Amino acid sequence: MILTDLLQRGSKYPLHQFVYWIFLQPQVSQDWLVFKKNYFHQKPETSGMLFGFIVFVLLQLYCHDSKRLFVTKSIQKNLPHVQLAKLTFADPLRMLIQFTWLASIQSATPYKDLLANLNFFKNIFSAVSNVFFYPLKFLTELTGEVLANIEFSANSNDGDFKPHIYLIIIFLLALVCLTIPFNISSQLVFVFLMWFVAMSIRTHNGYLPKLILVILSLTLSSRYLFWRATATINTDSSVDTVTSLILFTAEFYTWLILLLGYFQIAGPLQRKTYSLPNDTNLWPTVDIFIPTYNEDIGIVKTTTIAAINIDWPKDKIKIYILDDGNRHALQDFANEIHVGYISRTNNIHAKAGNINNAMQLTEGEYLTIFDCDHIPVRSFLQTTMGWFIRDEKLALIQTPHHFYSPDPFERNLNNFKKTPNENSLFYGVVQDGNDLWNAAFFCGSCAILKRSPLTEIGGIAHETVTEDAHTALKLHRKGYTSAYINIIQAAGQATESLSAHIGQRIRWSRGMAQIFRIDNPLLGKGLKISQRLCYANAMLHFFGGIPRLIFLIAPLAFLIIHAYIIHAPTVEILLYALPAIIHSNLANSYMQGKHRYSFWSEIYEAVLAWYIAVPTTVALFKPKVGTFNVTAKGGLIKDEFFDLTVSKPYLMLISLNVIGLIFGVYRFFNGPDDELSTVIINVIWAIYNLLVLGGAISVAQETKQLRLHHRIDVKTDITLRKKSGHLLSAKMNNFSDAGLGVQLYSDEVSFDKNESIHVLISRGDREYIFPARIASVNKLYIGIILDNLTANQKQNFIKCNYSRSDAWSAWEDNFDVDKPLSSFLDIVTVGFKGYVVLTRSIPRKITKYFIKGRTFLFILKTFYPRNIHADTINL
Amino acid sequence: MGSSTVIANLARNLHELDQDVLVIDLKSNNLLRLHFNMDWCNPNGWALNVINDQPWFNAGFKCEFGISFMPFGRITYENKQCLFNEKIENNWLSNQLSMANFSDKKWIILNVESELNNLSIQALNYADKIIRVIEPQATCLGQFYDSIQSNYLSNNPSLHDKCLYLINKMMPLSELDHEMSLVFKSLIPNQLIPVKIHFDENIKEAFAQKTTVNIYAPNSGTAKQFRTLATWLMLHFSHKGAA
Repeated sequence: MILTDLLQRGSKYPLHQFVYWIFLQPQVSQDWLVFKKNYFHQKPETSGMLFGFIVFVLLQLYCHDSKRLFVTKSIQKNLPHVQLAKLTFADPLRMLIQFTWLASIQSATPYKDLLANLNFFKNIFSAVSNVFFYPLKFLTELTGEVLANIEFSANSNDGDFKPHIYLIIIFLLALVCLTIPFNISSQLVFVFLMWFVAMSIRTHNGYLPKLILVILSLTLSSRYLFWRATATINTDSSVDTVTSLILFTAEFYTWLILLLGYFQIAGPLQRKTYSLPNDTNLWPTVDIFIPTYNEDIGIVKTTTIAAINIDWPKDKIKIYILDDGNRHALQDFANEIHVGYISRTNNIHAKAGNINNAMQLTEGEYLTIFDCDHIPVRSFLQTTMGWFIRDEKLALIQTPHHFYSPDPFERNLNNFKKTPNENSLFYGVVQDGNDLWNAAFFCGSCAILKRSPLTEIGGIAHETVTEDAHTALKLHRKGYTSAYINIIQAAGQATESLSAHIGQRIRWSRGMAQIFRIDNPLLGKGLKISQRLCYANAMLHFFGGIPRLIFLIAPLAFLIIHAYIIHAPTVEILLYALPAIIHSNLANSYMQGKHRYSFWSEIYEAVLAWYIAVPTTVALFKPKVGTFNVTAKGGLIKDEFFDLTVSKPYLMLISLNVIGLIFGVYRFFNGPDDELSTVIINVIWAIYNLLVLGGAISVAQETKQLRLHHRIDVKTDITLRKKSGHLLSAKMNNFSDAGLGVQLYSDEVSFDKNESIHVLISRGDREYIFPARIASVNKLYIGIILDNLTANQKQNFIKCNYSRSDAWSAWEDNFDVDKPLSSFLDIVTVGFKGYVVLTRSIPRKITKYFIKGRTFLFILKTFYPRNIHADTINL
Repeated sequence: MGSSTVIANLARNLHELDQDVLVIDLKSNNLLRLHFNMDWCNPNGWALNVINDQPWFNAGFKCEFGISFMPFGRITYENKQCLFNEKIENNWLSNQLSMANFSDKKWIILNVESELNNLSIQALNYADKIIRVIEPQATCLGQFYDSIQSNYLSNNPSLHDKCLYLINKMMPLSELDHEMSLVFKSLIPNQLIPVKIHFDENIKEAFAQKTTVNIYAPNSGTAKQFRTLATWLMLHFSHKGAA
């Protein structure tokens, strides 16, 4: 009787149920097994099991049937940082903290007032920022109208406009503006006015705002320089005078580069394509040269095949591999695919000699040069050649160098496709700017040269190690024109390691210095003043090593040897220097937009400064010294390592700055009161330098490079054919020489590893099929490796992928416009990362305490309670 | 050459694009119905109705996905002779269809016998567009140059102008098929539909399941090709057609 009674009432009264279970033990063990399965995701350990059992018993006793699952789940959800299956001895404490947190702070009842107060502060903050924001917003609208008016009147004024008179007036006004000394308060007002104008104008697009920003920046920089020259050169003692003059020279150099840079990029031409005549008989004959020396044959093959795929009448295009390495394998390959093979017995004048040698053996009207690792797309000639037909004097067309693999900066800082790379500024902005002044120059590859002018100047210039720029200079001197078309029509692999990158830059800077010395663009015949300036800027740019080093150690002059390098009160320095820096940043950020983010130049230059300082100086005095070195590309970096050899100069500069900092701290506490502000400025400067150098260090931390064949991202629909004859449509996500990455649309059809399949890719009217094999399967993502392609299929594969004329067109759309502040934060992060890298290289004995400390912090962090969002607890 | 399959798949895809579609099977092999899951044993069809002197349009069916179709019906040889010789007079088809008074937006797709007869000639003349299904093979090329049908079409400028060509059953592995499709492309550059339908096991399997490939294997290569074909047709002609 009692039993049946219990059975009926069991579910209502937990205690009765307990008695009921005693009689029905199999049921309990069944429940326990179900509970265990629900409760533990992993295999439980004893401690976890014990805890789980306690929970189970409590649940059975005090919880209604319908709520049990919910409670079980919510225990797990509320303890995200505790592994219930594997409890450790500290977990009870964690649970206690977590539940206390959830019950008190997160439910927020006892702390409502505090939160309200916090909101109050937030409101005040936004009110204060609005005080600045609203006038600015108003000003922005106002300037928009003013700009529109100016442009309207400029367009409607077609009467006799005499620029010379205005120029003289403007020049006189500028002279006044730059030279009149202000006292502190007037300078303050002046600077703020400038700043407001710049801030209100920078959101408008157009040529006029750009020029205004440039003029503002130039005004402030020139004012700064004039003030430095007239008021701040310290002549108190010989040490002071020397350091002061050195710094001034470096600043003068920077100002000059800034000025020339503005001139160079103020009006990028952004030349469009010019169409060819419809009658292909009028199209000229073209020779394609692929010079190679010791590069991987695989790369040369891909490039050669892609060159064959270029759309041009077959009887008007000839392809030659110019092999300076005399490799039989390459010769056999050339014979197999019916392209020309030219080699020579000596290697005189390296690449220039190689091309000149081939020029004598060929007769096409135009020469196209591709470095052996620059794979052209099929439309290369059709997008470019039209300009030759339009402009008789045109001797050179250059297209951008584009890299589909990350360069050492991008790889080691892990910002590939997130931050525009170092190249982007030159090919995106500078060359386009040069083009306006008819000064776009030859970059050695992805370019077309007209044979007759080239013969006239004696072939590719071989006097220097940068044959390309010098050739262009010679062509310009003869009165020929050049063009730059900023449409990516070829892509290659970037240098693999930082040391290789530095090696390449050393060669460029040495070559540029050589040209500057033996064939100075500022002197000699045949150039327009604008061309001279563009060339001069390109060359002077490479002399930036020493000034950069000076800036990196300048604060030490005061901190360590107590030399007053800028002889002026701190406030005045700030009022002159900061606006100049800020405005040059604003202007450059406006002009370089998505091709170079603010502050990144600092890191790029800091990395190279030491290495290019010496060769440029040497080349300036002894231009004949030094040999040509080939830039190594296309390798693997198997293990992560820190390139200590390369980073020695950075380490030296870092230690100097650290010593400076220590001195700074000492001077702050022991120096005279009137020096305090100077100490602070110099310490901040040194810290900034340390950040930039930290960035250089993190670039020197070489991360792993596992793939020999770089995967290139695309989005194309393809079809897969199974052995059974089933066709499946899929999406190709990336491809490389050897295979492709594919995403399936559903998992209805499964693939096995190593299964043989066929891949169908269509291009235009044709469809191509490639035998392949499944290399990896990961849910919807499968990796496919091409299997035993015939020469013909290989060519078709390249035609379907690398040769696509739109292969690289979407590349730069990914980048946002520069945001100076967030860019600065990136630099700070990168700089810090450098020091984290450094700690790894310090001997274990010293770091072990730090590591222990860090581990302790990590453990402490696990006790920190987590916020649980209500919706995550729902079942 | 596989026109029933092409039409069934095309109709299904047009329907999925929210088009109003009516498919009429004018082929006496009566296979089109099987793509729409009609019972094997069901003998109904418009031809049977005509033979039995019933209204032909009573033979309309709607498949479970909502496509209206009209099977040919199971008839005997004698019936067929009678149908073509006696029942179907000149302009029978156009009269019947105009009597039905369909909306202009409706796609009426006629599955026309490749052999020329009384009915198919009416259909060809009535249609706004004719899609000829070809296979990229030498035999097909031969027929394209010289066959009764081709000659009939090319002698009739009005018919010739409304012809479109669709490559079907292209073997992806066959080099010759690719070449042959290029040959067709160069012969009829303006009339060749740029979508090619491949030979796919999925199509055979779908038919065996009495359905179309976009139901049976929606992510297969051919399902996608039919989708593209339907979209292409919608873009270029947004009303009536025949095959």
